[in-house]
Amino acid sequence: MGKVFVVTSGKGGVGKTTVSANLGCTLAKYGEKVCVIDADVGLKNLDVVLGLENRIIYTLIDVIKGNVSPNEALVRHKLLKSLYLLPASQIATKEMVSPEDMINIVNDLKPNFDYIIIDSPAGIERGFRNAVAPSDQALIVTTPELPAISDADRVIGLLENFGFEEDNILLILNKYKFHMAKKGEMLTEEDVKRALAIKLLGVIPESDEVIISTNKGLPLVLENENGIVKSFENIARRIKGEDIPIEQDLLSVNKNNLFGKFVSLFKKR
Amino acid sequence: MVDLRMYKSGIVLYIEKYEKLEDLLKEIDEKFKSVDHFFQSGDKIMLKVENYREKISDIPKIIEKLETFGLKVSNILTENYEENQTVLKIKEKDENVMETLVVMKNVRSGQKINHSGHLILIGNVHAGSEVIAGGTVVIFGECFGIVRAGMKDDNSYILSLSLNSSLVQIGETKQILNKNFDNPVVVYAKNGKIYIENFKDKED
Repeated sequence: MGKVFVVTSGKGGVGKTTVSANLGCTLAKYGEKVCVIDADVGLKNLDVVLGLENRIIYTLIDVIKGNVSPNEALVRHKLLKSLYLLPASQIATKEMVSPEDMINIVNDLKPNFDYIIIDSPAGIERGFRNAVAPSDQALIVTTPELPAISDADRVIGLLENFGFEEDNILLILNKYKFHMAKKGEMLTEEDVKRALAIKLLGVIPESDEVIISTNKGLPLVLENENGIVKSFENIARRIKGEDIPIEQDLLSVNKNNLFGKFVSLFKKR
Repeated sequence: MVDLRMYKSGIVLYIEKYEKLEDLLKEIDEKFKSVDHFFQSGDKIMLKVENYREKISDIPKIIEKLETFGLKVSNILTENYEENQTVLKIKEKDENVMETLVVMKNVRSGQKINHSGHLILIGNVHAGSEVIAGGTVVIFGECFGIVRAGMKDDNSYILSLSLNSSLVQIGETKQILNKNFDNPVVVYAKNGKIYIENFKDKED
């Protein structure tokens, strides 16, 4: 039986889809069978980030209408053979999906996968409730900015109201700028942890490479070995049950910053 | 003559017209024996007597009878709905004993804790949340949210290990806070003004 995670944040633009795609890819890279579900019906992005937008035949709505079974609607990734996507429909609306539909779909998929990752839309309305309903664990993505943190707090509160235990809610700090935090210009990971009082699963540094890889439709973790890839690997290993200290994420940032500087020096010449 | 009725707000012992008090008490006795094990000692029940104004002297005896079954009469209802509401309100004011609720969790943005008595909170109160209590509020944690204490008793306090809230209220007195208190503080109201003191100062 697969573990079901929802990636959510409340606020938009913090990197839910990027985290879902890269985390799915990293877990698949480790040989796990992974299904990512795009719950952002009407504003689908996950297929674009994964580079699968021109392979979609059936969507979530077809499954709900009963045209196809959930397993038939899945799209297999080009490079990672153990990564599957259940795409959302762009022409449907979130109201056409109910939390019960999502529970039924995930229950159908559960026996075939090790991990199911649901990419939640921004906001706390219907789409959010659809994404959360079938999940066992929640990954809250936030950036070290006050609006994102206050929205994350609200979302954690809502998840608690839905019956989530605090232990099943994990925090991912995204777009972390090490040099700014060091100077005290940005909230540090300790500040965020203290403000939200929730277990930190990993820290992902800010990276320009993400923009490039997103536009290419090739998740970063597939083409790169350094940079933020290390952070995703650490997070994936923590999900698998390994005990890796958070400092490891920050270490890689530090090294990569130095490394990156050297590279850019050479590139300029 | 005697009937038990279930309402949204609880169980009501409904007493229709009766002649003699002795007969009624006997009837009540039988009624409760027939529903043995349904009630537990300490359960609350409401009482409704038809034409209660005429029988007002009997009511204490009926209550006494119910207490022999271990039941407590929480309210006495009349035929009139509006009157019932005022009876309920008077009853609330009469309850001098405030129960204390202990909550062990972080109160997060958008969440609200509402309690009629005293409140002990073990955890943080995050920004955007609200804590409302009839009496004193003690927070073993950091406080960023709105705290309203003393809704029933103006002499209540707020105690917190730190106070960074935007608004505190005790009874009718409200205060917007522009200062952050990082040490344990006591908040109280006096003459329509809110006072905030360090916890140590209070001790001296």
